[in-house]
Amino acid sequence: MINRLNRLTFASYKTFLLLGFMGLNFLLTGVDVLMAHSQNDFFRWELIPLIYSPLAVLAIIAQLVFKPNDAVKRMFQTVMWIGVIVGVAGTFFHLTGNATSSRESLHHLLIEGSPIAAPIAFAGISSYALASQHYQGTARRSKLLILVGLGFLGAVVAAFLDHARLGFEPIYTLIPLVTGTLATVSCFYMAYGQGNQTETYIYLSILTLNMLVGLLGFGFHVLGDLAGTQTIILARFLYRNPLLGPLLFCNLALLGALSLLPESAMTFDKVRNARRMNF
Amino acid sequence: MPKTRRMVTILGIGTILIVALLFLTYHFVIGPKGLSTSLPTLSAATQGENKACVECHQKDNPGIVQQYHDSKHSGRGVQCLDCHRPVTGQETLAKEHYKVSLISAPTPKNCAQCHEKVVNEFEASNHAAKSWYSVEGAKNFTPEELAKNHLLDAKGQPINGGNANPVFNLIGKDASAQSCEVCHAIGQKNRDGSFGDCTKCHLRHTFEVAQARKPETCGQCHLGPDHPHIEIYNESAHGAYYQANKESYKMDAPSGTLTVKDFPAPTCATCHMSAFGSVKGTHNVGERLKWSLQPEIAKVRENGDKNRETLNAICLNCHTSSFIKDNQAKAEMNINLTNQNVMKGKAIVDDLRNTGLLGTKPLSDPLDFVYFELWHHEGRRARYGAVMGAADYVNWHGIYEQNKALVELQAKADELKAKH
Repeated sequence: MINRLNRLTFASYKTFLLLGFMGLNFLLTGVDVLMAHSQNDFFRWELIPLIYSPLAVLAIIAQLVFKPNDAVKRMFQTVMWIGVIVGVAGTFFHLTGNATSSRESLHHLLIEGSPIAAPIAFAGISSYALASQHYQGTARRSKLLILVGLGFLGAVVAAFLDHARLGFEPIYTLIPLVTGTLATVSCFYMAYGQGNQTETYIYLSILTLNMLVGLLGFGFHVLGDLAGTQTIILARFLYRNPLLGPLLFCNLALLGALSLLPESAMTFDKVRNARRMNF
Repeated sequence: MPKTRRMVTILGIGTILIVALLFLTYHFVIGPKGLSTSLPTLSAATQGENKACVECHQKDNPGIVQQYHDSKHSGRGVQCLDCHRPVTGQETLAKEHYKVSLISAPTPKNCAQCHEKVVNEFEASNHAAKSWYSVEGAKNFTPEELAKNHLLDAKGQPINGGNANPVFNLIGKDASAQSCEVCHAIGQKNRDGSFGDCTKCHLRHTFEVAQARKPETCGQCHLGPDHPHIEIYNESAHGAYYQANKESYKMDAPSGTLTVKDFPAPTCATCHMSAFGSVKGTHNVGERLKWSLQPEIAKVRENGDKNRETLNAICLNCHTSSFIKDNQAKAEMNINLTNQNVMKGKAIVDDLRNTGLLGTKPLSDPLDFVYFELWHHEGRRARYGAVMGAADYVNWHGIYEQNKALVELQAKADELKAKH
């Protein structure tokens, strides 16, 4: 099946697919932040990701439409680097937003209050978009897999902090920690070596498992938010069992699979041209 | 080692190591028994005018600075001047303080900059203008304010003739300033045209939601002979559960998310204000109540039945529909009984007054006090006890006392009539 896939001409569409998927990621993340920050009337810095998200989507669309244009490319890269800054700054704001000057437990700082692992998603998506656009060939495959691995690690940390609120009860709240960690390690493994066919199957099986875990988690989160409440209350979906949290595993599983799509072959001419440009 | 087996080994060992690391981190670092630290907040120490405020008041009033540091406001970057800077309509309240224009006591208008919906709900409640009116009457109200806050009767006149409460006149202004007005200031008239003082429940400068959700906070004012809500709550099954298990209540759970997992039995806020189960939160404390129980004759509120449906949706989180209906039906019978007792007492007093055997000045005769307490104390106590589940207040502090008062009133009335 893998060989059959490799024979298909995905290579020329890979960048388009990856960047398009990143645009969708920015859009959904923006909607999630819009709902969350609306609860605080978008106080001060909370507007930053909301201004940034549509900007990032536009930058990706522009890059896809006007690909050969250098000005558009520079603008795209600038916007994506801003995304990295937005992600890091957001993490800092969430952390300090949970803090007071009094001595308090790390439990309060990291687990209660604003989700500290959430804003870094902007940095992750931006980095993935930058790598998708900047690199070609096996170097890109490797870098994308590392980024997906880091994404899985972030998802594991987010699930860890979220489920720590419940003291990891019931026991099935441990499932995403184990499957997410397995996916993290397998992404790094695949990034640092050319996996054979069996290894690729194992890797894809792990991604499929995470896809299923994400869907299952989504179901559990929805049921948990609705339990005994007879109606939908937005705040509960934002603060109790975050709706988009488990879907992050599905998202990353898809990204992991997309990263494996065949790269365009580096022809002798391309290699020579690249060398000329470097020396 | 074959390559595939090597992969499986690496994945297995790597996963076990990372998951183990996560659990060690939980157990020793970020779990409930983990480490503590101090992390500077964004707002307190780092920025401009706020830094100057904090530094100076740190020396003069360290308590308020500490409370501010401990607040969610501080963590979120809300600075001193965000609340203390005058907004439109507060020009006359503003003072120069080290070349900065500020107001010393922010009003709901300042809070409304961020919490507009909450302030609107509060201003529509009896906690706002009506609470203030019930002390001093219409004295400080403009006609527009009386109309806007539904303080006019059917004839367009201020309710209760616009008079101050007879108890206010009885005890005098100085005593009232340290008693009635302290609690009723929750609806105080501010010089910027707003009514209310948010800090009566959300004590400055922490403004904690957790503290506002605790029954003890409501009990600051809702206690004593005429509205012993905190005592009634503590006597009820809800209160007994709270007293035994209050450590397990998640008082600071995010607004809008509360379920029985956070509040296994209700506090005052659960029934009257909080978003709970399917019910949205409100700062209009009467929005879920069918009856208005505090007047001489208890009456059904406008939208009373709709209000009760809202309340029942909260009760249904723990009780069956039949249990709720049964309890409410019993409570309504006792509310009607208190109304009948009040009407009997009123008939006796009115008869004496019409025949000239009682003076016209309020609370000037012992019989005035007997009748006043018949509705203002015993009547209310029995009604509140009935709807909140406190048996002692329905009988011994309520209906029993009302019946005793009626016998006393009738005996005194007969005695007065016999003399004349």
